[in-house]
Amino acid sequence: MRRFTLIVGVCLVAVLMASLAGVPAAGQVPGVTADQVLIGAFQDQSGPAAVVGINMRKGMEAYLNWLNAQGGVNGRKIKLIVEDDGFQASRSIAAVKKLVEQDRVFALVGTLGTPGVVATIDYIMEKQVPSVYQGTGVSILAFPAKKYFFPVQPNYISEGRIIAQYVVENLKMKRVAVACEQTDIGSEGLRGVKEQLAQYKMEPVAVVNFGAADVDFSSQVLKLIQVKPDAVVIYSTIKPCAGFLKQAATMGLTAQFLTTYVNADPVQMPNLAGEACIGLIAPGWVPVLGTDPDSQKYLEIYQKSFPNEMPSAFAAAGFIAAEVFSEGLKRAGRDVTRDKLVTALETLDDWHGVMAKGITYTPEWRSGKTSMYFMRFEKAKFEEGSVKVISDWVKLKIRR
Amino acid sequence: MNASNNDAASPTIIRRAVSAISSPGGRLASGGIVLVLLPLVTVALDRAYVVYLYDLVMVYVIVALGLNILTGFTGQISIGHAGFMAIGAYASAILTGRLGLPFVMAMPLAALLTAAIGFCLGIPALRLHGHYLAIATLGFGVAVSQLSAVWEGFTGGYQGMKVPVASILGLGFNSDLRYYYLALAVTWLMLAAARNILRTRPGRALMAVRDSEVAAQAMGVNLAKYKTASFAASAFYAGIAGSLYAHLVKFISPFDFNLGVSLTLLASIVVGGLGSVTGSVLGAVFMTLLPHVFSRVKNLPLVLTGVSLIVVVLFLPHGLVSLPWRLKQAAARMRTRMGMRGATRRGTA
Repeated sequence: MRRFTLIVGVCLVAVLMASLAGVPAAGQVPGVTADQVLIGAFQDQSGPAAVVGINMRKGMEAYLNWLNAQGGVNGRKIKLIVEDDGFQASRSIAAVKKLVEQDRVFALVGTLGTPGVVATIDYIMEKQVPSVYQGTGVSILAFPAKKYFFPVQPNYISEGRIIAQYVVENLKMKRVAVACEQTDIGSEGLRGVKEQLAQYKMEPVAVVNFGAADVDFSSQVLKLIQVKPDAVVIYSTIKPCAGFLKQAATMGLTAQFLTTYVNADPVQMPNLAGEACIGLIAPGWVPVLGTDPDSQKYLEIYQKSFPNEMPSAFAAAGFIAAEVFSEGLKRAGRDVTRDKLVTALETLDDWHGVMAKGITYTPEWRSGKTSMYFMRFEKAKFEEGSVKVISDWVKLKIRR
Repeated sequence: MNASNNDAASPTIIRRAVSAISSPGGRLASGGIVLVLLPLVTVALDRAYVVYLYDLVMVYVIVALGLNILTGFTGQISIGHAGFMAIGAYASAILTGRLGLPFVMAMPLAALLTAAIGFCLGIPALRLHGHYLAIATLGFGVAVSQLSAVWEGFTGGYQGMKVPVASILGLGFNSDLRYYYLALAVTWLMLAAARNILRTRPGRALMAVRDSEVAAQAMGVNLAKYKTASFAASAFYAGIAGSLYAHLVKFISPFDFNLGVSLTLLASIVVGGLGSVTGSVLGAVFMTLLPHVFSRVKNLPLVLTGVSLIVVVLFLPHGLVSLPWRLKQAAARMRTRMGMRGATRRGTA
């Protein structure tokens, strides 16, 4: 028995000595030194979403390289650490813990993937680490609002509200029907449409449901024909959406069809729906690359880091993530703390950066992207001019 | 001179301690003490997040152990073990989250359900050998991952589902440190069970099946019985691991149990040592920690996995577990060679 007490004793001494050695400096803001701000992210670099993660990282790096070359923010350069999580929640958790506890990053920016993001919400809230831009559209990040979370990507609830506002205010239509898939896309989109219509003291004239794998929509279309809607908002994934459009065309349901930005795929939609997709309106949130000064500036910044390379849509997402964080950091001032960053981000009101457009946060409103533009499918196959942008940025009206 | 001095002067207590530790009981006790103190030391060293990695390692130790029972001890390959893990994880999540069952009941129930499915998969697998069994189990693994994605009402689909904190008699295992001791207890139980089963009659029957099915039958081993039992036991281990995984990560989605995970599991028992309990542990530790250590260098973990597989298959066919023995062998060979050279030199002088 004595030998065990000896071993235990030795181990306890080791623990005590180690605990004395590892006391962190108190009172210091994690990740912030005189000339540097350290930020971190987990982004899949080798798993199923590597194509997203690699490009998002490029977009972030391009913007930060450019910003740091200009002198950084408030005299500090921003340094980014990316952890590869292979798109697995168990590894995302390890990555976030490593970033927060070992590297002591100031904030998380541009974390990617629904599983990893959802699995780390509780930990991030507990450690009070600001998290700006998450590469996922799940609405639990924004609803209810969470103090340390600043999502940018639109979720179905806020998008549904923007679509409803566009239908009522821009298209001047009153009879709005909703066709929704029985998944979170459908239920959240419907919730958004209803919430916005309620602001005009209106409600949907009809709501029809279908399953994600359904191929026959005749009963739903028949029901809509009976109520004669002006506009039908289809909240579903792309396959049933295309199927619904085809069925509506054959059965002669004439209304303005609208759908979520996820289905605004200029290649897939005409492939699946053919002629029936002509006239369909969908919103978009990442600006289309054009000849305007902002697009040119974006290209210039990106190609400074990655010469002769055209940025992908995912790179734009990373770019926007870095832009929003840097703006918040700038507004937080030189004596920045995590809570000051939170307060600073809450002052963004329809803020426009280079690629980030119409970003708004309040303590209660955390669905960053409050403006989208609308586009219409013009042709039955993907070619020049098959999708036309038909509106300016439509800004969601929220009460501050 | 110094060394001999020290030897003479060193109090007997050290020598006694050394001999105590190297006795079988002492090794177990000191190993246990090290494992109990390990997370405390880690936390004290200001590396608390590493405790989470220990927890994760134990999850994979259990599933690797199960896979080794099937592949290493019974000779039946499986490239679908992530599927069993998924069943255990989802079952445990649904039993605790939706049906409100206590964790202590949910975990064994989830594992029993997984074992039952493993048993069922074992029946058609009786007719399959080698590549065909590999393809069938691969199909199973992919199918489970797809099913968990499509069966949205039950599993939350690609959006995944939240898993409640495991709690036993009101004690919530909500911190990595607390979870460590829960996982340690379960892992210890599973390890002890595996060791005991494999050392007794059923274990020897499994190995007989692996070495020669004909010979095993001639010795009176019921092939169908032992093969399906091996499938069921292996699935049971994966089910326990899946349940532990779910309540550790507290969020599961089909991405956690894809083909890549199954292949990593297979690689871990090959690297650790096929047909060895210790090998399962070593392999799981190695394969779980590798991606975390190199998580900032793009693709390096994948490359290292490949390289370590090749190196092990070429130079250490019995896995990492055979490394000390191989080193001892090499050292002995070196010593005889040196001894011979010394002898000849002395001879010529």
